[in-house]
Amino acid sequence: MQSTLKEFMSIFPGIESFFLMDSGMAIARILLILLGFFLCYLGYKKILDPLLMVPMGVGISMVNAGILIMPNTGKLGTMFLNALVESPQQHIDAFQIYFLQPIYALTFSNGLIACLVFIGIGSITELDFFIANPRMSLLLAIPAELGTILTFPIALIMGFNPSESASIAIIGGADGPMVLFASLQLARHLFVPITIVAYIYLSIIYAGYPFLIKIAVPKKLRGIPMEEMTVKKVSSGEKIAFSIVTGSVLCLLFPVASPLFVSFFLGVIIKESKINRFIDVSDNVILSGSTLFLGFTLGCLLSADIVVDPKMFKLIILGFIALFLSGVGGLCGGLIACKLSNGKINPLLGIAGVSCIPTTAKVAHKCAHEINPKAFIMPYAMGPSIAGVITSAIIAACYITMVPRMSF
Amino acid sequence: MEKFWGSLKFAFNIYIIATFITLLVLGIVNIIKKFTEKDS
Repeated sequence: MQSTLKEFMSIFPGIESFFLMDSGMAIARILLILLGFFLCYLGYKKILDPLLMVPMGVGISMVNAGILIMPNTGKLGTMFLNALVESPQQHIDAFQIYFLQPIYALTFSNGLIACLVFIGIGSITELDFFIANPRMSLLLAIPAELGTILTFPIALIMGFNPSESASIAIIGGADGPMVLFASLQLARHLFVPITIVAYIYLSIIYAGYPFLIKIAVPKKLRGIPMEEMTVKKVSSGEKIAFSIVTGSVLCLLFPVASPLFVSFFLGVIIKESKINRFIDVSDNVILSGSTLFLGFTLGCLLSADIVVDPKMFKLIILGFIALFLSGVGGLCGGLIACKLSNGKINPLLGIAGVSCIPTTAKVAHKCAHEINPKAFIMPYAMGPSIAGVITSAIIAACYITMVPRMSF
Repeated sequence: MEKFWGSLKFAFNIYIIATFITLLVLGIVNIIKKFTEKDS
């Protein structure tokens, strides 16, 4: 009987692997397989962002199902990828075995994937309202960084070191590629859980922030239509000049974060230069392709040993705190702007300052439209949303530059 | 607790620096707008 069972197990090593690990890990694996199904379902139903959640869910469930004893090491592993290779020889060997290894080694370990997503985001970004009303856009984006600032000391007293705390705090900037890039720079060992927590929360924003808005902003103010404000026409030349000058200045100030700045502004310049072949490539190929592989590879990196790490629970709490505080800060900024403009500015524009372009702008528009069908604030909300990307990148750059030099 | 206040102070310093750089970006936008207005 025992030998039959052994033979059966040798035919199906995935099932055998459950009996070769301790029970806690086996349960975590089963839960992760189910989590993958669930994320995939939520993506399919469009409850969470399908572009990321479908590939991520597929990756999480299948990588945790497909574990076997690796013939080359004799240890449990998968045929997907090995994130722990270090020496050049190990890299060469890994390229022959793991099918996702080239994607991981060439685009994740150096942050290229985040830059590719940023090129795509830049190429679909409309800078018109931001340049037409830069003061309002940027001043609304600054308070919306509250979570990025306050989460840092909170994470530190929860037991994370300064570099890890800064990576977690950047979740408050509500920009997935930025979180990925910053955590790769500051806390490489934690980049998978931090980025996955960030992306899951960013997908929930569309459903979560409307509750915060309903609690924090009076109904009367939510329906301000902003008809009195007009968006001036902005020429492509102005947008290109802004992108190249601002990009160069930011690269000069923060060379360590220059890959992010150059990617974003390159995308914007491609769009505004109206080079259709480049626009097609950056929008359809680069953005779609990098989003697919970002979601899928991140999912494939989420193994049971990451989830059973006690730090994971703290990360989930801190991710929530970061985005909650940024939302509160954004709405406070919006309410102050509304008061200072004698009720002309809809306070919901403040929540759009929490970056996460264009989700937060859509949230602001949806909540205003629910109260007043004549309120069409989407174009106005895009300004603070773009400003949010810029301010988040600036704060991330400050953290990346300054945290490694500090001691607490 | 000292660690908390020290790190909070550091975080607020970053906030202030980021605000100044944001204002620098605002200045760049305004300068570019002035130049392009002259051109048109």
